Amino acid sequence: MAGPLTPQDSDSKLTNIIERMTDAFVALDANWYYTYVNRKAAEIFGRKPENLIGKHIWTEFPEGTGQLFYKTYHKAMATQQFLQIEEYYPPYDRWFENRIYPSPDGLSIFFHDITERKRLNLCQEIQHRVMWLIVNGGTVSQVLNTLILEIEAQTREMICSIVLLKSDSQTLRHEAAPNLPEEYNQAINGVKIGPSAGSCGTAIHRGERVIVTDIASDPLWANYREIALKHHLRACWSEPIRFSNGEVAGSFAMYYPTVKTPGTWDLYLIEKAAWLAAITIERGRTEKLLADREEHLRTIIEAEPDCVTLVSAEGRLLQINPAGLAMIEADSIDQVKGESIYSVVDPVYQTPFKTFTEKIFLGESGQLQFAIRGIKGGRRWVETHAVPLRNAKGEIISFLGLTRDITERKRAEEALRKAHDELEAKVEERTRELSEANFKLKELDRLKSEFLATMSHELRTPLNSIIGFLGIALQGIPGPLNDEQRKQLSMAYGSARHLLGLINDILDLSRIESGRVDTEFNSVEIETVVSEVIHSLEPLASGKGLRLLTEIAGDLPAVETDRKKIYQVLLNLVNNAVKFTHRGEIKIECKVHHDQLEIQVSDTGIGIKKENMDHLFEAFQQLDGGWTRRYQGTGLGLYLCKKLMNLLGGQIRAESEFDKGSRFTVILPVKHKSGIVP
Amino acid sequence: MRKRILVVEDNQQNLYLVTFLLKKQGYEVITAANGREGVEKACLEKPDLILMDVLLPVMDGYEALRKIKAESGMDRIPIVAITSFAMTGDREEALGAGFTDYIEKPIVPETFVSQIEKYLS
Repeated sequence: MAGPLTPQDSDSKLTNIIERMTDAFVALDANWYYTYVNRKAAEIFGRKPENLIGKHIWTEFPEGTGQLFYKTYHKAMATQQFLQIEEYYPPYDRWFENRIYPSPDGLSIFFHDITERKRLNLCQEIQHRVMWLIVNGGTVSQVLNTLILEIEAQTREMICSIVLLKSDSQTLRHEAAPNLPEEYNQAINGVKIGPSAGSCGTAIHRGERVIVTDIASDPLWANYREIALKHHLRACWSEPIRFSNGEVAGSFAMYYPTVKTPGTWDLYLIEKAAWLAAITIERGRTEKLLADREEHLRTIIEAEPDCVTLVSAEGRLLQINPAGLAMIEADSIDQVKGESIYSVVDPVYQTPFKTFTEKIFLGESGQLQFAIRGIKGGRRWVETHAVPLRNAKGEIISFLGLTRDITERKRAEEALRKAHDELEAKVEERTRELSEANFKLKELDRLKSEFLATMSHELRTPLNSIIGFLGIALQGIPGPLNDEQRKQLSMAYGSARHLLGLINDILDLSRIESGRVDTEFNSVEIETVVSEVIHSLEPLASGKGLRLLTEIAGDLPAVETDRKKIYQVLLNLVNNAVKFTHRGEIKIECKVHHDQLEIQVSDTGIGIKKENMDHLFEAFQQLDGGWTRRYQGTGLGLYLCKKLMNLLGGQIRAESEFDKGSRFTVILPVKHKSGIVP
Repeated sequence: MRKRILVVEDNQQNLYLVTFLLKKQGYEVITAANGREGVEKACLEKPDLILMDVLLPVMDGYEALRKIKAESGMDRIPIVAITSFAMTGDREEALGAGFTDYIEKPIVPETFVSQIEKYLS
């Protein structure tokens, strides 16, 4: 096809093809008159082809004059070269691509709408530039200002602004608007959002886009109209800035100096701008939050009295706080950063420390006590708690160590251990001394007992013959005695018997006290023991005109006890009763009470004073001196009784009323419990 | 025929006392001052009754008892222990060892004679 088509030479086939093309097509003659307009082109122009054909292009589209395509058409016509351009055509608010084929007769022009592609590309470019700035450490304010300038560059006369909602969620704060007058920006500060609070206050309140095409007439602007118009702001469209969680943080606004209705491109752009602003602000806030947290954490770590360290997988020191620097005796972090942590571990603890860190890098936490050597040589005991730290992939890249100086504790422990050892040594020594002393005492005791036994025997042997001879003499066997002789020999006999009693008691006690007494527990009928006691003391009692009574319960069981010892106790008690009673009676009662045999010996004798009751069962406590003289006795009898009763697993107690009589009670377990006997 | 009694006792006074009492009753008394002498006299004299202290020099009463009992024909002779007052066990020990009876010192003249008479009937 060499020149512009005319209806005259169009053949129907060709016409069909041209009419069915998706591209618009027009043909112009050399004098800029339309010679052909296809259906698609007519559609874009909003005119009928027949109304354009034969018309002059610059008469029909005067606004095209001076545009890029105007210049390009002329250039193509002049140079007769094929040209291709892309251009935005404001009256249609669209982008078009033009392919211009010149010939000496005129121009054949194919064009199509590339608006969508262009806008997408533009947005992507803006987005890339904004993102690049964010990534390269631009501050929020820098990024937002850049975003505004980028957006403003897309449309003539448009001014953008970003306002944010203050933390009270009630009022606006001017954030960025490099091309709005300062007075206007200040006026926006503190504006309360609401159902009619200009475009931005309303958009934020509603959570949706607000388009005000004419500020002068729109009721939303009633309160702010004056200041807006003062600064030649006539239209304002506002898009909420929404965070990823849906929270409305502010709005992105586009202002125009004239009444203006947004096109699809404008809406696309404002939406994109608000989205980018949201990303920027949200990221800024997250970063600030992280920074705040980091600062907070850093402050804590700096102030931490224990050593906090961050150690790399290679065992190198990445971070350390001031307390840690002091611990390893470093003057500054530069001195130690990147150094091997092993350089401060005491040589003795290298291996345990290595095992410990290996364990941490296997993902376990742990603690270790070891010694360190500071840079200046100071040795300290420390305790480290370590936890592994992982990167986003879950790999352990370092560990955080919390190390405490436990030198004082160790010293205290050491001192304590030393003190403990010393104490133990002392205790040991003392124990040995005591053991020696104890051994000596035992030896002494043995010697004493031996001495007593020997002495008793030695003392008794002559005494036995004295008693024997006195007995024979008193019986008149060697020959008759006169009254005085009989009286004196009787007195000697009595004294000798008393002395023998004393010796026997002492021997008994020495044996009991040295634990060398054998007890033989057999089944004993107490009734017969009591009879024996009565039998042996009856002559003495009746000699004093005293009655000896017994009251024995019928159901007395046999008792497991040592017959000889219980006999000795009862004999002693009844003997005492006879001795200390001058008129009346002595009564022996036996009964069973709770598996225990109770034997009571009561008399109507002289009784015991209250103050003497407490010492009744103690050795050599035969009360006052006068007593001893009047009542012959060893002073060991009751003491011996008590000891014997202990041996038998029983008890003895006394009740008495002075001048009225006494009652001694012996309690004996019916069944002998082994182990009670000492 | 008068009954013959061997008294083994190391204490002169006691020996005299016992001898005196027994002779008064018309018994013939043979004396020995220690355990070994007691055994010799017992074997030699073959008395009707032996009264023997337990604590004796040279050879104690228990050993003397065993030696006497070991001699043929001697085991029928009653041997009565005479000893100072002692705690439980002494009597049982004495009887268990083979003594026929046990008399506690000091000797009570009234009962002593009747105590030994039963072994001589």
